[in-house]
Amino acid sequence: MIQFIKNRSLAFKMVLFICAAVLCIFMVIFLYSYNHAKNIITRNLETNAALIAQKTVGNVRNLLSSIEKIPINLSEQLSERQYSDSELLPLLHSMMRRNPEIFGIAVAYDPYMYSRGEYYHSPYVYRQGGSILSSYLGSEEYDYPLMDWFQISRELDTTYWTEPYFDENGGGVFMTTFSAPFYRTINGKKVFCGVVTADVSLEGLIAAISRIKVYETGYCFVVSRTGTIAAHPLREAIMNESMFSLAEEKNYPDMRKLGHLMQSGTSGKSTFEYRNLKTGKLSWFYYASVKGNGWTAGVLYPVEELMGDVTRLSRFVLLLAIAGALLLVVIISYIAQSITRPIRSLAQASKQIAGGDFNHEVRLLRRKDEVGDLNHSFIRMQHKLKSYIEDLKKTTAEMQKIESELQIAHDIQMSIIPKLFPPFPERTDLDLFGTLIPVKEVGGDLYDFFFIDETRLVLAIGDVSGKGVPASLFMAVTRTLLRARFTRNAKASDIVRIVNDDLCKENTQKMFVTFFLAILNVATGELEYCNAGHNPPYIIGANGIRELEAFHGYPLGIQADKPYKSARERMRKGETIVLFTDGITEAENKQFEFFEEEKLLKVLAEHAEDTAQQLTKAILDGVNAFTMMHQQSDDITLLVMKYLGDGRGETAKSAVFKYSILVKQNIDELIKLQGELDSLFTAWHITQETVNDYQLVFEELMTNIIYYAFNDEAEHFIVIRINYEDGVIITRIEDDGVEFNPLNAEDPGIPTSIRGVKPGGLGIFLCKKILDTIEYRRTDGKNILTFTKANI
Amino acid sequence: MIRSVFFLGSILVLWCALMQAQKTPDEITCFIADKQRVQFAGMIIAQEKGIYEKYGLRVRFVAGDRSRASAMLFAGKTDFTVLLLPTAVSLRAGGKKIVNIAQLINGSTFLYLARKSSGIQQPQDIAGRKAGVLWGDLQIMSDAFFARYAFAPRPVRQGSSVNLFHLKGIDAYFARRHDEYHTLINCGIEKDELRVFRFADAGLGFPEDGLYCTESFYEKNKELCAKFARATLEGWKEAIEKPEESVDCIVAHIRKSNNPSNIAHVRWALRYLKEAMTAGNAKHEWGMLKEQDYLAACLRLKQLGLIPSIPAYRELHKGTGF
Repeated sequence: MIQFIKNRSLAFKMVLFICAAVLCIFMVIFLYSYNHAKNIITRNLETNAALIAQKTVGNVRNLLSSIEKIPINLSEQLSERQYSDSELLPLLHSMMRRNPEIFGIAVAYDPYMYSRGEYYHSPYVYRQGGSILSSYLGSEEYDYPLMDWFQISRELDTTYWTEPYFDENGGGVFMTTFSAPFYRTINGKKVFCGVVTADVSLEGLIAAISRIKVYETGYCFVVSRTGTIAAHPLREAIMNESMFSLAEEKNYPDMRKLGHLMQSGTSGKSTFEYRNLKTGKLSWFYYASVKGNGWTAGVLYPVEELMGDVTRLSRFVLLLAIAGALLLVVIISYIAQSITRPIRSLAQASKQIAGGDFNHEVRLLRRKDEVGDLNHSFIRMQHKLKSYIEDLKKTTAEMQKIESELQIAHDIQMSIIPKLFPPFPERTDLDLFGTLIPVKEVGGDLYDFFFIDETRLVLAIGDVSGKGVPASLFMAVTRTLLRARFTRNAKASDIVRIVNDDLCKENTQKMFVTFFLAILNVATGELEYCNAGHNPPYIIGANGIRELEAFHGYPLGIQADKPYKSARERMRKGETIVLFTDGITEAENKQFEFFEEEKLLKVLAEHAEDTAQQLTKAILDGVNAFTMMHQQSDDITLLVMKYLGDGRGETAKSAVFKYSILVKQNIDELIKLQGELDSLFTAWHITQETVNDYQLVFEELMTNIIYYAFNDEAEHFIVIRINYEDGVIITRIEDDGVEFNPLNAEDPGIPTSIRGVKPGGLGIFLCKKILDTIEYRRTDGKNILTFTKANI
Repeated sequence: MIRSVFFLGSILVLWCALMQAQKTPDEITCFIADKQRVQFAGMIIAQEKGIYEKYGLRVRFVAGDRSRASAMLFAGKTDFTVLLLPTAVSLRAGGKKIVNIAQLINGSTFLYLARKSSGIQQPQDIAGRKAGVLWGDLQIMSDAFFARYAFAPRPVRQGSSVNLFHLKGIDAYFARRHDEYHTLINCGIEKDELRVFRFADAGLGFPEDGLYCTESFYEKNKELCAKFARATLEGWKEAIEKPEESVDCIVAHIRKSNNPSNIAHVRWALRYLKEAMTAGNAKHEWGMLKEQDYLAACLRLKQLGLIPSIPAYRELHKGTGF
């Protein structure tokens, strides 16, 4: 029901609630006035009823009392002496003549009291057809000592009014008989002698009460002491019905109670509703007792008629109320419609606008009330909304464009970071995994790794100051420079320095990047690293976790021409290096606490045996568990590499390698050759120091050969054979040039500057110093130079 | 003179013969006690609904003092009468030749009533106090009750009215459950004000009303007796089996005879009369006086010294098969 009302229109609710409220108020007023009027009428009625009842009681009393005195007087006389019939009968006749209301008078003796031989003796004088006649009562058929009028007076020693009876012989009327006992004193004892009776017709009483009008259908009635109806406008009820028989027949328990009240000799009112015998309509009773004979007069008031005026008025008022309510419904409906019509119109317009139709025309109302204000405001709102939506469209388009670009930037950034794992599936000597989770679409962190030759793996990680696009661009530049500036033989410190110098150029935004660069010789486990202001990485080893604590300078981009050094570390098989940015250690939870190194170390310790990917996941899980999904505040970058190589020694020194190459005698070829040698030596697990020394000697000797061994323009080939046996690099260079023994060059001593040394002299000197052995011979028109260099 | 006497005698005989010839053989009279009351509901229905007529009977009810029912019968003032079985047994045992042509009420309806407020707790408490007593044909019932409990009250002859008891003129009142008892209730006395001593509880639950005629009448008019018995029983059957259809008819009939009556009372009476008529007789055989009940009643009466001898069952009851 509530839901039903909720779903109705505003106009419906207004009509419903206002009408309901008005009707409630009206009903309260109506009920109050109705009850008030009813109470007033009831009070008046009670007064009136009491008067009528008392009047009826008076009538009955008058009738009865006028009769009673005659038998009483006669009984007193008979008590004084016995009258003979010749005396008594004239007396009775005289009484009858003087009292026309009396139907008959009898003097009934108790059996054998009049004379010893006479059972019945009862002279009786009565009226018949206008005459007064005499007879005697008493026979086997009419055994008067058993009659109530005789027996009750005798047994109760009192006067008695009989119950009403129908007298067939006396003219077919309802009668009652009054009896008064008389006594005689015999042997000093008062002995019951008989009764004197007077019969009286009830017809007069019946006629009298039938004349009393109680509204249209109400009436008076009289009941005897047994509750039997003695006088009633409905003749068939007289003598036949009693209050109790009617109560039983009509099933009115309250009526039986009323019968008892009427028998009790009191007066009062009974408000129970009873359908009267004449009309069957609801009625109320008022009753009053007749003193002396236990009879009671009752007045029956028809409720409908009593309340007729009130009921009519109430009906009229009710009709007025209904008409008023209908009128109210019409008026409220009209008002509600006039109020809600523009609101409905606005609601409709709202739907249209909500559906995207911002050009829907809303009619401007020429009214200045609240609805008018609402209409004006709505139209203003529509215009503002339209304008706003257009702006929003533009902004959204731009935002979408930016987002699209950012997405592209993100993709590009991600594309420049290696993210295909495992990156070197063919390799069994390392397990590498990395991840970068930018806090925005693009981030300022970076990591990178790549082999610069067969054995040397570069590991880099950096964190650009700031976030977002600028940082990402700076990151991209850094990464590009890293890759661009790397050369085969470059040391980590050199690369860092070069990249720093490059970044410092045109760095108007004063951005910088903390950077850690490491070059791992996977063959030897040797790790050279340079840390430019970055978080020190950890190496998880068999003996615990150690920190690569060395710092080698400021972050990149701050100061140009700043030298950077590097440090070395050896990784053993099974050790894992963990590179990370401060996004890990400075990850915040909701209490703004940092994850910090302590928790990171704990994770590393617990997952020391894990693969690189597992360890990465464990670290990220640890961070997530700590932050409880609190908003990420910085880019998170991790690069983890587990070293699985054997290290040098076991393989490099026991192997023998041979290398032969034919080169043209020009300097460009030499540079190319040197690059290949770097890769070769890396593969042979030659230390960088040895390689550096070797490359110096090799370049010197080859330069001499290229510049001095050929004095024509023809194309010549130089055959180079390099063997690596037992940790010693054995190199043999053959050329078909003019005979030239470089070993014959003068020893120049130690120069102060390499730039001032002539080719040949100082170079050969250095060669001899650096190399372990060197020898020259001329065989078959070829210069053969052989030198050795041990791998240190 | 003799001729004149003979002539006059002849005229008288001729007149008598003529009168006898004029009387319809099926015109009968039946005495019903006191006033027309619901006690005779079956006969009223048979009369009002033409059952007697259907059987070819014209029945005239003769009213009178209920204590004189047998006297009316023997006086020839009625062809039939209604008597209590104990009364009939007593009469038969006393040499009065009456016969039962139909037993109407097989159960017992008699009660003695006393007000609880009078202090009477048990029948013996009535001793020495004013008690309504019956006389004539009905006296045997009062005598049986007092003999059963072996006490003597202060007897007050009881009329047909309940008013003497209602006004506390007597302490104990002889009543029938279906009649006077309810009349008292209709005078405003509550049931719980009364202490009820049932005759049946005292071992005096005799069969009550039956239809009787003189044996000589019966012998001469068996067919007529049978028709009257059947018609009366049919009236009773109609009355108690269709009470709602009978109530108005009975009320109207009683009122027509200027006696008081009302629907509530007739309804009540029919309900309890039905109980009494079918008492102890699951397969109620209308009009049947069971020999066992008869002998039990006779034996009890004899034990109480109310009858000198027990008349033969077949002498009194002629059954219903005729």
